[in-house]
Amino acid sequence: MSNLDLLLRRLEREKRARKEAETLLELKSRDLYEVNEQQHLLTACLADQAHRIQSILDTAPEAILTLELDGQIGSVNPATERIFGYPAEELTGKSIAYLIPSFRANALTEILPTLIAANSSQCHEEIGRRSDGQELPIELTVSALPDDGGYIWLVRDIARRRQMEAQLAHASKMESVGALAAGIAHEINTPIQYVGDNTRFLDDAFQDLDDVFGKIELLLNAYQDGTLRPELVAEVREAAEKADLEYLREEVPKAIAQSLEGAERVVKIVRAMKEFSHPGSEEKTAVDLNRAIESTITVSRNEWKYVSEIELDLDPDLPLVRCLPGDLNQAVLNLVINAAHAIEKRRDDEGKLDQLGTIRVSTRRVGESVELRIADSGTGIPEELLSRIFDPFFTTKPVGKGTGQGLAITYSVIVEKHGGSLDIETKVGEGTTFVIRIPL
Amino acid sequence: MKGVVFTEFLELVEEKFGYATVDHIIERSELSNDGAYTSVGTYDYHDLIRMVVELSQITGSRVPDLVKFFGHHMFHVFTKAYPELLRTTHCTFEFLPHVEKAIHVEMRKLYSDAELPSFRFEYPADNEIVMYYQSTRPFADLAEGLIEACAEHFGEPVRIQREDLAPHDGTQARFAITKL
Repeated sequence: MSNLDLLLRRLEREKRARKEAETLLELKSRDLYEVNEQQHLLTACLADQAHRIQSILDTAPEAILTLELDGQIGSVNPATERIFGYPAEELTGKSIAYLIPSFRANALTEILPTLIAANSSQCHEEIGRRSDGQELPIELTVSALPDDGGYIWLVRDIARRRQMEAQLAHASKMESVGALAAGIAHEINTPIQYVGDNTRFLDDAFQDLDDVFGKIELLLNAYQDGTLRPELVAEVREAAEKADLEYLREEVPKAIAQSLEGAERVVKIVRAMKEFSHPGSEEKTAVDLNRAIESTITVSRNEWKYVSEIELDLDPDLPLVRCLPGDLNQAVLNLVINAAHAIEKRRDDEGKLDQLGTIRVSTRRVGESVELRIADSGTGIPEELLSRIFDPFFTTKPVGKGTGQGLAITYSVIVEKHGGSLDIETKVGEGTTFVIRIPL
Repeated sequence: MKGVVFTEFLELVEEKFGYATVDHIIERSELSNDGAYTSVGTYDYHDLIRMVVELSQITGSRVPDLVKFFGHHMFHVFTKAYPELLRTTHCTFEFLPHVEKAIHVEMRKLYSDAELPSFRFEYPADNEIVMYYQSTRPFADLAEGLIEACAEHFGEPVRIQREDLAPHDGTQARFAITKL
């Protein structure tokens, strides 16, 4: 084969290779175009998503912050500015302790694992600080960003919720007072009844005695005038016999004593009611817990007296307890009424309607706490319900008898407001003891 | 296999043996596209093997020697195409790991579908490096030529102990390279 033929064959190969290369180039160009188009669509999609996410962040009522690993604030949404009163640019780069003073840098590293672990199940409550220095209650949810990218903090302003909870607790207390009113009226009515009867008896007795006194006055006048006659003496004697002086000498002191005792009972009930329903103080004050318990037992007497007896074993040496008296009274009342209901249910279940149960209330000092035990001989609480009994609105009572607020409020009062503990010892068919401990 | 290997091979044959030899081996090898290769295309690697076998018959050289020689050539192709490799590496032990880190990365940018061999390294001693070659294609000889050319480029006398690994068909090999 000549060189020319060889070169022509090579030229032919080169031409075909060039065409193939051009075809490949076109295919690559098309691929590139399509990739570019997809890139545009993806970019538009991402921009749309970013816009949506930004809208969510901008309109969310909760403060949403991103934090660096060292606790410095990276970014905040408008709600953060609104809730804390700082402009975003002032917050960026600041420590989270700027908004939540309790989270100093060292404390933050300690508490973060707890906050993140609690994320799915519960929120963490803290006190935040606004730019004007005002404190505000907040609820936190913290999530870790992937690849050590820092944290997302979701902060809710719960001031209004706290206010609503306070209103609900107050409404619940008023509801208790209202529910107790009928029983208290009955409690007052009984002594008032016999005070009235005795007073009427004294009134009748006085009418009789007034006749005797009238005759005696005539007798005395006649004696002074020197006109005393035997008939006049006989009239005095007749009037005295008619009035039955011997009977009156015996019964009038009794009637007076009973009336005084009735009046004292009314005074005691009114004083207990006054102490029980005294407007709750915002500040804790030193309270005689035994006296508070006695007042609560008194005002609730009509709730338990038909189903139970009360045994009090109150430590006379119990020190004064710093507490919120109104809230504590409410908590004790809830437990006493629950105890009465549990006894009533057991009595109904067992058909022993004439048998009274027992509610035993005792106090004592245990170390640096006071312990209050309220034990009943009621139905007891099944184990499967124990984890739910402090949940708001959970009740096993029939409609109209319980709202499910009692134990939730009691728990809140003892544990959250007083830093105490509330434990239960219970056995189905034997009874329940609530054990309250409040630090001194 | 990427077309650049085919075009470089044919250029090497033309340079060393003339375009008549190129035409001859193309004619004799019964290639899938009659030897019209473009560097940006992708072709069956069996075509390359057939051409090397034909070249072996013409020249009387052993196929492994020819492939190893082609490996030498490819080293120079790489260093021309990626001159920064020679600026950032100063010896064989530095250059070889950079083939995986630099050249293969660049190849994937140009040819996302490229099926490249993989290199893995061990460093048993200061003067010894072990390179494991693994590919879907039987070109351990080409890898050996590349290593030899690299050592020559840096003027380093080395001993290369090659061990073909299972399945012993040139797709997997262990190269123990010792500086002398």
